[in-house]
Amino acid sequence: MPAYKLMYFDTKGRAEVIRLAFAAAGQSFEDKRFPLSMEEWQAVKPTIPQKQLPCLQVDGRLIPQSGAIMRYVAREFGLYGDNNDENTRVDVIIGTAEDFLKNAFALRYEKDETKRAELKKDLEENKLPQFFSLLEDILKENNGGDSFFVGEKISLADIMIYDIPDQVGAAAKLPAFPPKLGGLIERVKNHPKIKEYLAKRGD
Amino acid sequence: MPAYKLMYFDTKGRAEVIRLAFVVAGQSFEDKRFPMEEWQTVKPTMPQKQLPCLQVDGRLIPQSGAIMRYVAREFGLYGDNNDENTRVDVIIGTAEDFLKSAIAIHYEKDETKKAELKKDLEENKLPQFFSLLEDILKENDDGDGFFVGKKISLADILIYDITDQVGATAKLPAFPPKLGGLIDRVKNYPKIKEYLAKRGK
Repeated sequence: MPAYKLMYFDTKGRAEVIRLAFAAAGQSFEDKRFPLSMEEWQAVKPTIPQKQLPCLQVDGRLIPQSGAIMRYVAREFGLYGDNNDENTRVDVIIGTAEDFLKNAFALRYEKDETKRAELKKDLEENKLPQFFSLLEDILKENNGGDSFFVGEKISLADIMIYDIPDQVGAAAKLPAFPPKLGGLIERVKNHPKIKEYLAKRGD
Repeated sequence: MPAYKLMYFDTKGRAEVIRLAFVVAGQSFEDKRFPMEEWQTVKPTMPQKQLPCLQVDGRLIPQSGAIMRYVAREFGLYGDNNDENTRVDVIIGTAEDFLKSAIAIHYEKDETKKAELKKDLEENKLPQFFSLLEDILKENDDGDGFFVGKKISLADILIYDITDQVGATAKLPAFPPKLGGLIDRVKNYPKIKEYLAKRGK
């Protein structure tokens, strides 16, 4: 059994989907969190490939790039679908989420208060509803939207789509979930291992 | 044998890496290129109203990252195990990080800002990107083969394509030695060489 060490800052950010994937897999891992004060990270940074986090250490091997890490963990633990068609469906959802996240990040990094207010309004009135609507359509392609995004079991796609509204909802007002998407979010929150993880994690 | 139809605009952009992957795989595909007026009428019928989109026997796959991996997995261009798949994904992620800088220039309207971004790309971002690729390449067979395993993969194709496209609008720094060797190896890969001869620039 390999030893996993996930390294990131002490926040959800780009690591939380990976933490959730380990939780769903029932796989223990060292959850290394560099304090946001940054001194420890500055000392360690030169030793990390690409000098960025997250980084996953697996038995001494260092894997950078959140997209690579999340897929590595998903493949390892059966959270990436069971064939190329299903793998691709997961990838479509990852790509769709990444497209949306550009808007959320633009808001996060905008310093100008007026611009910030405009971006937030656009996110809440346009980008979020469009994203949720698209996810509703994608979800309905599988079992009428009454189970998971891909196949018959939870996958990285469900975990990622749970995580994004959870994080964005802390900074912007979410629109109501369309019906099937709302059901999927509940299903993920109540997945036994995830429910356990969320109870310990809190907000 | 499924029928593949790749839909995009009449340019390289985000489709070329997928075209190159089909070529390496020796797999024929319909290379549908939309002029803008035709795209406006077709757009509402596309999932996510974006291109590229790959049609496989009637199924429509959007998202360039999903399409390139789908084709790579189908034709043995994604590595042979999770470690190798992951190495391909690391390189895709690294390339995507770099492309944000290149794409920012493309969309910048202000001429002064554009010139600054181009200077930063040529003097900082490109050399840093090449240097990082050199390090990653040297992790495998000391950089004397391909990026992943013992054969060409999506990673090699993607890195060749980026240098080709960015080099059309910015001055590339010299390739570090192993990366230069890899780029030549991809250009001279028989099926790619044949495709590039027909494609021209």
